[in-house]
Amino acid sequence: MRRVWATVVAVWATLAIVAGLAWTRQPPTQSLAQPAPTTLVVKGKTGTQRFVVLGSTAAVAPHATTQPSPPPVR
Amino acid sequence: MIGLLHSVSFKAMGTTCGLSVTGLPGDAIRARGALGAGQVEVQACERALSRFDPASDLSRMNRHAGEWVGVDARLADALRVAVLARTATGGRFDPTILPALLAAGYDRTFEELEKRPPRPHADWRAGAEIEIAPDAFVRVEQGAMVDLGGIGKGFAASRALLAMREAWGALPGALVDLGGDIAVWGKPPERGPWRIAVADPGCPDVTLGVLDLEDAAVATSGRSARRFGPGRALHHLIDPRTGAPAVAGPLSVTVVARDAAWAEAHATALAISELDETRAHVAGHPGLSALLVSDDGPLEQIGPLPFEPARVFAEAAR
Repeated sequence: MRRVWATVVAVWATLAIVAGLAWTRQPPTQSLAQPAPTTLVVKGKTGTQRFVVLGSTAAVAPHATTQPSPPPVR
Repeated sequence: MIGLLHSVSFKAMGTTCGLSVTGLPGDAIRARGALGAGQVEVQACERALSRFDPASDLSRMNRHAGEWVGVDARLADALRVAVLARTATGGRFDPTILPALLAAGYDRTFEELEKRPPRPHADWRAGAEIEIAPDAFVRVEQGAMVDLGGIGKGFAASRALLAMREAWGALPGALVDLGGDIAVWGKPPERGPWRIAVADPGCPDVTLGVLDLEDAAVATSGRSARRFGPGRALHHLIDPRTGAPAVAGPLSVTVVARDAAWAEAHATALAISELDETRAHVAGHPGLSALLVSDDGPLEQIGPLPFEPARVFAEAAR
């Protein structure tokens, strides 16, 4: 009977350790995926259209973007 | 990749705020603590610096212009930086711009501004006095009012970054982004520098290029945002030298500096400056560098800017 209880306790202890590890090693909250190329339609003065494909120059996507803040509102 | 990026996003100071920290897989609790400290600091800055909140320390100081007022230390510190920036920019950044801002139309919505032209301030005088005493007592000249819109988010970004570093002593790296006013420290998860994209002012979804930053800050200002007045000819940037909406300046200007408040104040000043003025200004301030986007013409890089332009991979005519 003592062996049975020891086995039950060991199983529960293993499960608790696994759950603890899973909780502390969560996946990243933000992925750093490769950026997809962006297609920009540029309209010329004569009405012609050009399609410009822009792409990042490096393997790592930007972490943030700087741009003018919108004007304040009431 | 040697780490993870833990992030949080929330609304404050009239914009979307993003905080991120670099951590290892077992750092989730420490990362949450640092992010929480940064968020609390941003919210405390908003309570102290907002002119849209009648209960803020700034609003109270403006209501009691001419009197000494005890305020949160954050407002006193922000005013110190603002006064220094006013001197450094030769008055092109002025925290006492609010009366001219209100006269130009900031007492109403942009929809209402479509219908009536902005009015110049009748007795506009730039450079009103701001006094800052020890123990966070401040006094603004009678008849003057302060607006920290051109420096407040940068100031809050720097303060939040500091709070995050204090909350986690061994913090490997952090980024604070308050609506495009950004401060970074340490390393991102993949090592190397933090990479900050510069948005095209005419098409915000397009990136003009990327800035590689370490222990630095960046801010962008310009007249590309919402316009108002007859024919949408006017924008929200007021030139302190005239008290009227500015006519000079590039479409947008991005400034890199060590401190985010400093970057934002100088971006505000350079956004209403002629190109020659901007070149001379950056040359006279070794800690600054700038990227200018004009209505037509190439990008102008001024100073030692760590900028990598986006490449055009293909181009086809139709």
